Amino acid sequence: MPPFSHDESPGMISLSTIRSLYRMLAPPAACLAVALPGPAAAAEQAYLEPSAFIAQAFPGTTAQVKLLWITPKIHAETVRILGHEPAQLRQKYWTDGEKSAWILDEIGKEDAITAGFVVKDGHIEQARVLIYRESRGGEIRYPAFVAQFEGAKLADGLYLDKQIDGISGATLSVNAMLRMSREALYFARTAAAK
Amino acid sequence: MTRAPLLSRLLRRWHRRIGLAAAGFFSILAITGLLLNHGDSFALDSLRVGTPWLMNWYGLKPAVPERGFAEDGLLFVAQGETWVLGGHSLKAGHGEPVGMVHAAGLVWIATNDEIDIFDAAGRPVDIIERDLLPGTPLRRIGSRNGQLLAIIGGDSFATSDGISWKRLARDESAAWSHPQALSVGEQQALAPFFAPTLPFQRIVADVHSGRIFGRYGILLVDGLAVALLLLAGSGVWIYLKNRGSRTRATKSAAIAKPPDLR
Repeated sequence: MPPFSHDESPGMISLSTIRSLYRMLAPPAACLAVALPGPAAAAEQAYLEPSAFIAQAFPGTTAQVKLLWITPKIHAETVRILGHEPAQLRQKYWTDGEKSAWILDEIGKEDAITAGFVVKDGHIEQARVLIYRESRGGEIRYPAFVAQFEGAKLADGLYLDKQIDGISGATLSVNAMLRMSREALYFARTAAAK
Repeated sequence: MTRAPLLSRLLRRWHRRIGLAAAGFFSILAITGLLLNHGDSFALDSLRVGTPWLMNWYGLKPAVPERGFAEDGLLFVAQGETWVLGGHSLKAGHGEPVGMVHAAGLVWIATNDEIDIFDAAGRPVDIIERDLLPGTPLRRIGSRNGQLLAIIGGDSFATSDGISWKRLARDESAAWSHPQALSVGEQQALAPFFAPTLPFQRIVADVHSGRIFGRYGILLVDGLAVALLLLAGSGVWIYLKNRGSRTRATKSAAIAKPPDLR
């Protein structure tokens, strides 16, 4: 019988009919509920002001602000690290002579993540996520993740000499932190050599 | 063969008619809904559309500023988040520009809270934020002997790199940057930079809600929503009726079948 036939008589709705209707509709409804996206997270989260990070990095002393110009050689190496053009032609950093602090921006997926790195004797002493602007992946701010960068040095090929464990669902943000950590170590090495 | 009651026949007929008439609209709603749901994945919010007829439909027209800052043959014009320097689109800083200076081989653009530094080709060099300024708000900038001068609050300061600042005596003269009127030719040349655009996601949302056609569009989508409710209701009704008829037909067939006496 075709679904819209006029040749059928009206009938009662039985319990089994309702049960079968439920069986038919429940699976797609459940799938739809799982597939629906949740609300997007806040656009920008400032966890630590850059000035506060610098103050924490140099307790009791006044760090000097210096400039590192992105020369053609530095530019080429930075492109190698980042995989794209650096955002600006000179980089500010803070130093007390022994260690240096770098505040860098890098896009995870769509928006810039601002992170701070303190470098001493060629290794990362401290890493912090300062401002996070992506909609997801903010777990990279947790101490358990950023603590992995402590002690990391620059190895051959401008890569880190230690393994950094990723975070599920935050791969692009983790990769951005990895790129910034390599950039900070490279900049610190270059600035120290000048 | 019995005929279905009038209500049932009417319901089926109108279920078909509404379904066919609204199929195209529902397809548009479904596609725009999917695009909105996954706008982040497709980066639709960063994709901008500036098609002239569409901007005209929205009532948006190019609005080139009437004033800009000029120095050493470089013209800087800003409006909102659109900054243009010497024919190059710049990454806009935060706030309304108060001056532009070409000094020490660099272009310095000041807002109340920061100084954005570019090279003459418009490439970003650095941003001097409030933490590194001797104070805020920045009132005015100028140049003298290749140095940048800034009036911050009631005091004057000089710098050659934006990092180290030296306080100046108040009576020291400088070439201060001030806005000047743009010629008609300059405004025409700048028009493409200030042509209106809208985020693609906004346009999709307007199509989805019907707002793109004004208040009548919203009413149309409201009508479609009611039509969808009617379709859902009539669809469930038809399904339940069919189901009941089939169940009864199966039972009747089982009763009518003669028993096997062999």
